[in-house]
Amino acid sequence: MTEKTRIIEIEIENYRQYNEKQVIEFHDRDEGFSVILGENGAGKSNILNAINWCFYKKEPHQKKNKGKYIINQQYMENLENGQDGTMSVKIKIQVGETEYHISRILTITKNELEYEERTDGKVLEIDVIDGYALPKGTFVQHSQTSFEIMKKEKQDSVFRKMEGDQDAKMNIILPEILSPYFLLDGEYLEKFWDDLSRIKVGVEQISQLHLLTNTSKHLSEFETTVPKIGNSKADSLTTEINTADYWIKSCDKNGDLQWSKEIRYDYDSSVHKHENYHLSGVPRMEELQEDLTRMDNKLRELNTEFQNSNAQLIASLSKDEKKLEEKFDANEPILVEREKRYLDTQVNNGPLILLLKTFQNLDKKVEKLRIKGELPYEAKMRFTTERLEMNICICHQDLTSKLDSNNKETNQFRKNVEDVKNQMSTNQGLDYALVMRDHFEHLILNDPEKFIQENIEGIEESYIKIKKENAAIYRDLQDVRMKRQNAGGTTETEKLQKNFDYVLKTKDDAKDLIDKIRDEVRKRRESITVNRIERNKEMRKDKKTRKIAFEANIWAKLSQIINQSLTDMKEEIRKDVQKRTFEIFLETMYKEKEFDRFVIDEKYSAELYDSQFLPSLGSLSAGEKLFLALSFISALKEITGYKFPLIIDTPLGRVSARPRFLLSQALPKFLPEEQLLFLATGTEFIDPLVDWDKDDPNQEGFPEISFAQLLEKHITMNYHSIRHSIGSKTATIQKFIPSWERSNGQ
Amino acid sequence: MDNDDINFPDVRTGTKNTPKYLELTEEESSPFYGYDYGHVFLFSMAYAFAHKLVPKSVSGERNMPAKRFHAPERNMMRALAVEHTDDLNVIKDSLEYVKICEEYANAGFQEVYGIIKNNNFEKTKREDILLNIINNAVNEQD
Repeated sequence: MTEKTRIIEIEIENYRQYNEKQVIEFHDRDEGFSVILGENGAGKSNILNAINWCFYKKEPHQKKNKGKYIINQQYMENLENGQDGTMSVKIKIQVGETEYHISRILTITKNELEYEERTDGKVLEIDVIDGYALPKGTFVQHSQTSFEIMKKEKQDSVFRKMEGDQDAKMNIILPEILSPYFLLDGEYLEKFWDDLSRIKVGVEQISQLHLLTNTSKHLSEFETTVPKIGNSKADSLTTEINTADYWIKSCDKNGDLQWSKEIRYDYDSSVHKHENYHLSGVPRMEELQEDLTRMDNKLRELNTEFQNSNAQLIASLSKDEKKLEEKFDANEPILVEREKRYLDTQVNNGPLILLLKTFQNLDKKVEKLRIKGELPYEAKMRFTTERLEMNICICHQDLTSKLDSNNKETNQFRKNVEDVKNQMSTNQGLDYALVMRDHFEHLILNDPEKFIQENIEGIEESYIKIKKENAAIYRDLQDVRMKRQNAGGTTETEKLQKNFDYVLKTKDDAKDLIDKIRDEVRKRRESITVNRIERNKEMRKDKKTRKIAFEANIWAKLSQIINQSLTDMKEEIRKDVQKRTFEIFLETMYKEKEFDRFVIDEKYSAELYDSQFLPSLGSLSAGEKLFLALSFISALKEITGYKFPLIIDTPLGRVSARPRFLLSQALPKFLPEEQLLFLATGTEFIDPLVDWDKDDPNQEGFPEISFAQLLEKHITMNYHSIRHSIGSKTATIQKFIPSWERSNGQ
Repeated sequence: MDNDDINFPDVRTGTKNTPKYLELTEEESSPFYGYDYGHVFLFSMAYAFAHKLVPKSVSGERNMPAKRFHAPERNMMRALAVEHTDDLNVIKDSLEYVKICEEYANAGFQEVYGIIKNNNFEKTKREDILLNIINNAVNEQD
């Protein structure tokens, strides 16, 4: 569809904040930009929701509506029990020269409202009844609840209801899958690059390539749909081909998709079509590939969080802590060993030191005896025995034995020597005193100071040294731990780290799985090719089946051609979008930053490289990301010729003053034919820009005027505002004249 | 007489002391933790002699086998007995010199045990207790 689509008017009645009928007229692009101003909670996002609800019965911006029902609260409260109430959203659009009136009406019957008693008071119970968030017990009047599309061609004078399934018709007029490309919120745009599927859907759906993809799928079905022919070999090959094909497509024999029980990474209903992964094959591989990008973005996000927190300091302190712990642990066995030595020496050598004087006295005693020639007794005994055997003393006295009749010695000299010998024998035990003396001399007495130095003081010193070292390490360790505690403790870092590790592991697992599936897909495709050739041979043998084989061949060739065309077209569009996105981004975006190129690879993964050829998509500011996303959407529209209005909720939420200024210069050049409606807060749009970057290198001296005034320099602005007082349950939309225009007397 | 004095008897810690010997060798806070009775005995004996304590007679079973005491330790015991008796001849009588040592060990053990049990571990670490005892004794001797 390349015809220009524009919204003419939206009428909201009793939907969410909007009590009574509220009408917003949309301006054509040649009439300028439209802005609906409203503070947070006033109901801006619910205008986006109202459009989505009217078109697709969905409300993607659910956060602020949690716990609230879809019908205006005041309106509901004013209804009597048993009374019917109606809410509706009606939208007039024009596609080319055809007009459509699209209306979704919900009629309910109010019953006694049910409340849940909680400790903090009673709370109204909300239930999803027939797809609508309503007070519990409310009854939906189906007969008066409708979704209707009225159509009027250029030549028609009246609107006629479109025939057939209205939802299907709506999907033809404005496909639901494309709604994220025209109903945008700031947060979505900022996170646009976090998801591969957005880029893929953008390239394939907006450029209508999905039609070709579907054709290719159908052809592939024909290709595989070969009936059983009664030839057991051919039929068995068909079964094998089909089994492999079902696995590759993750479907059963009826073509119904098969799902695993595993939930997709970071499942988000606004991004993922299904909560679970496909069971097998290419669909599962593609989902995993998409999720890899989400994982990369999450890792980048965590890294930024890490850098913004004290985490870096904590990480550095943790590193120091680990080093100190390692050092402490390494010292521990040395300390234990030295302590053991220290105690050993006290236990074993302590008594020696305590008895040092005793050993010295023993030495003196033994030495005295030795000097007197008393020691050793054994030598003396040997000497006397020898003399007695030789019968002669050293003084030449005759020692020959002379016994009397009673056998008693009569030689007095010999008798004297024998007495000495006998005494020596008794004293021989004292000779050990010499051994003892020698033992103590060697051990301690020769140099008692050296003994004490080596065995007590030296060991004590070495023990004290390592003890001090360890005490110092322990002090440092405590110090580091204290600093780390003061820097925010470990919980936050550990949580970040844990999260980081989890995502990293999930990513690695996903990569492994992708490799395995890719390998398996390749093998199964190869087996399909081989089996088909084999089957064809088999089928050609038989006259009856030759025709079927011939047809299967044609389908296969057709499928091949379509697939090749699809691949070529995808490649072409992807490259065009890539080129044009970068051109638009450069034409309109920050002049002071230099980027080398923008790349969308064949897996639809996007990256922006800076002048240093470093990937910089992850580090872009909120404003830059928003602008790149708008550039992409703009490029898509230009290339595919798809023209639909853009409604952007809270576009400048996180964009600071300087990029806001640049955005105000660039936006009027964007999509010169499309309607552009902003849903913005006063702070974003009509308050002066005051938070200029003081380090502005160019010192351009930006004016302290509002974003809207900056836009007004280039384009006409049409203002509405949502009136909504705090505590009030209703909001109204009115025309709005900004203060500067009022002061100009306009 | 040689190193393997066959008459060297088994040695007594003293009936009353035995449970305390066990305490000192099995409680982690004791400097004798992990050592055996012989180490406690010799240290107590040397302590008593260095401090000139009056030997105390010992009763009870001979609960430390002779083989626990090797030549250097036996020499230490003999040297102590020689000094006590002022007579070298005492080394010829194993029963006698061992008895003298047992009595000194008995006297010393009471004090060593008291020092260890009453130690202020905040002030003096387990591993420094014995060194303090040794240093005090050496200083007293000087």
